[in-house]
Amino acid sequence: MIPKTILVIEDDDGLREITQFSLEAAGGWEVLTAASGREGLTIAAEDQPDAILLDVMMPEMDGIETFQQLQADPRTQKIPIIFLTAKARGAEQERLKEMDISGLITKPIKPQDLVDQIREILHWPD
Amino acid sequence: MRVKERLIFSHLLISLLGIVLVFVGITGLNDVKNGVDQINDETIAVQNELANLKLIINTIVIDTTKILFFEHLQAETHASITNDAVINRNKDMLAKELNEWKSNQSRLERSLSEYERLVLKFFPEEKRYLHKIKLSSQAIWQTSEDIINADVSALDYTNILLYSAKLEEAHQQFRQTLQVTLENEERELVKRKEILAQKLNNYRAIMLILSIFGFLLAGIIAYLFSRCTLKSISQLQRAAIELGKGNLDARVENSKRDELGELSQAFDQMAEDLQQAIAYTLNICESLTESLIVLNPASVIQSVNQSTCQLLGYDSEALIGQPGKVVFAETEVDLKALTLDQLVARGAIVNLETNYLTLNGDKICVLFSASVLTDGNGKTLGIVYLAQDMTGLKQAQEKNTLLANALEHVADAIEITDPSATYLYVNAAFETMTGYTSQEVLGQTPAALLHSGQHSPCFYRKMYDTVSIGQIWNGSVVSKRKNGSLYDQEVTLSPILNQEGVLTNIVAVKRDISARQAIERMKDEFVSMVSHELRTPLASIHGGLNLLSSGLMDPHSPKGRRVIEIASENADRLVLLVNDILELDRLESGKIKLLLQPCDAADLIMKAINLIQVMANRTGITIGSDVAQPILLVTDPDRLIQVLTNLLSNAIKFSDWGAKISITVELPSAENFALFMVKDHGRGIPEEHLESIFERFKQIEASDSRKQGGTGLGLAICRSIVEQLGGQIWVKSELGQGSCFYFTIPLNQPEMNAGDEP
Repeated sequence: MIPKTILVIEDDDGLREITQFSLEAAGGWEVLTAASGREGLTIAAEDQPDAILLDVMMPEMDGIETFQQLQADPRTQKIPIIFLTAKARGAEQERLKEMDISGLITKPIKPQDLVDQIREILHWPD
Repeated sequence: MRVKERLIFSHLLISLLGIVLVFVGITGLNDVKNGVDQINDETIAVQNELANLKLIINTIVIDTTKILFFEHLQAETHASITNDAVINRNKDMLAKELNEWKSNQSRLERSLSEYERLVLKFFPEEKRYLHKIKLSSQAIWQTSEDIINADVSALDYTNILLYSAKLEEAHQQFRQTLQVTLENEERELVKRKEILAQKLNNYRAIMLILSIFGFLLAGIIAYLFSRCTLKSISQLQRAAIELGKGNLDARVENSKRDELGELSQAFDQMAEDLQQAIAYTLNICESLTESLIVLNPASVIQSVNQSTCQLLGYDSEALIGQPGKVVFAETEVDLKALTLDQLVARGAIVNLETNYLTLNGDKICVLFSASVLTDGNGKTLGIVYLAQDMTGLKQAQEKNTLLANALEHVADAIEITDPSATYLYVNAAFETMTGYTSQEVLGQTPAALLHSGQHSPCFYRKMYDTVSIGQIWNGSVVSKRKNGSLYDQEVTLSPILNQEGVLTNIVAVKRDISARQAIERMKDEFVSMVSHELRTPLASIHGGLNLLSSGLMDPHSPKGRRVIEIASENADRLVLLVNDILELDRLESGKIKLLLQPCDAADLIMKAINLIQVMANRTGITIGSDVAQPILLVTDPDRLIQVLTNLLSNAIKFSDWGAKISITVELPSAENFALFMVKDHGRGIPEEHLESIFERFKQIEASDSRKQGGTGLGLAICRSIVEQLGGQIWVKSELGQGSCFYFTIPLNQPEMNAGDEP
């Protein structure tokens, strides 16, 4: 069975690595990483991951703009996208949920819980 | 019975009485006249008949005498004369006379019969004379008949004389009887005339009595009628006099149905109407909320209403008869303007504000009007003063002024519109908020002036629908100022409904919340930023440690060691961030006590360079410092070094590898502060961020803090320290060319001079 491929777009180097390690170790998935939205667009279009874990607050191109561009690109518009945010305010989370995303996960989160939430959102089997 | 009918009746009655009197008089006179005529006619008829009878008797006597003569003549002739012609002519004449004599018999009988009829008819009491007349007439006839039937042959002269004597005797008897009868009739006539005269006198007496009676009756009728009429007139007169004296209760109370009764009832009705009209007028005066005072021409109070008494504290009895000056505050009102002549000349005084004096001597502000009271002929009766207590109005005016001032000075914009949202009023805050003047907006609508295009038509429709059904609408609206800029406002629309529940006005209270919104946004951004800045390293620590603790990753593996390293770095970052947050909080809350001491600015710069040199060396940055001479100042050196290292740190972070940065301090001429400058040649700062970068977490890019290893609080800490040291901080920058941060520090602090020992 071919493992799922998930693209992590996160500007914070440490968190990006920790997330990558968590998904690989707990989920057994193949993890692609991008340090910016623009890099993420390229990787997503080229590698066609099964899902994208997208940080909201990033420099230059933030998560929302990245999401919009992914949606605008026919090559990537069908890839499920999960926002990863550290913002705690409910109003902001509600605003994000109103977008046509698959789900929203709030930082910080335990690795196993992160994997479980992704599986639940994307209906991926264990 | 009506007066007219009584008049007609009495006139008719008197006329009837007169007619009766006249009728009776005429009848009586006619009766007397007829009696006289009848007596005359009867007398004449009887006398005529007696004359006729006398004539017949005379004829009989003559005829008898002639027959006696002719018979004697025949006897004489027959004896001596043989002539037959003469004898025959005598016989013829005798025969003719005999025929005449015989005809007299029938005439005598008719005459006697007629005479008897007349006597029996007119003079029945004279029957005895009738009988005598008849006997004497019959005696004459019997004598004549005896003479006629006598033997002619035996008639000698003696016999003839005898017969003639007998005839004469009978005739004489007849004439005497006739004379007696005539005399008797004459007496009877006189008697009858006396009776008639008596009758006439009786009639006169009756006429006199009737006249007196009629006069009395007419007088009684006139008296009764006059009495009846005069009684009503007297009642009417008394009531009119009473009414004229002012007794409005005076009534005639005549219930008769005649003209005077109707006149009395009309008078009563008029009095009733007058009483009601006066009562109505008095009620109007009494129901006036304004004070009503009437002065007579002598300026004496003649009449007041209840409102005046209530206003001034008097009883009406106590006020009436007093001079007008007890009410009018002479000291404050030009009484010359109130004199009658002046008032007449001016016609009236309208809405003059003055004071009335109360019973207690207090002055009450009133607005009064005065006018001259005249009768129907223009004669002046006095002056009428109508005054309105201005106390409540003054208070209301003051209240209105207070409310108007409040509206004008309230910080929120207040608009009043009609139901179609056309402006009727805007306050000063509205003008300040929108830039429009009141004159510019009145008659306009918010849609025409303030429409920002930020809301859908549905938004405005729901707003209006809410208000139009009488409910309050609250919400935030983005509007456009006159200069085209947009602003956020918190709007409360309150409907004003009339008693029928119909919307009459809309009151809008609008508060410019742009600043608050900005603060809210800043706060949200800050919270998000703090949240993000705290959670991000925390997420790395948390996730990494969980990877290790859960056994998913071996801590001794390369990835495990990397995880530990990441966790450690982020823990340091977190500590630094928390420290900065706490530092800033202490600075801004004034909890950090500055340790002021004299120091050299150049020395402080060198210390800061030394502290940051390691960091600069890592990025190949060269720090240049050109301080020509010592600059002494009194400040907190540690805090000043903290500012300098922060600025140098930023300059290093945003400079390319190998770039040069510089730091210097100078003393501007004629100034008592030191001017510090930290200059780099980095990417520069957009103009719009030149101010905001000194705010917390206000890096140009949100990720600068992480990318450049900062917390986003450095410049905010710098500004706080500089300001607490009494200086200012700012930046000049050009994109792509670099930035230069400036800050000033006073040479002396108020508490300590530069020459003082620490």
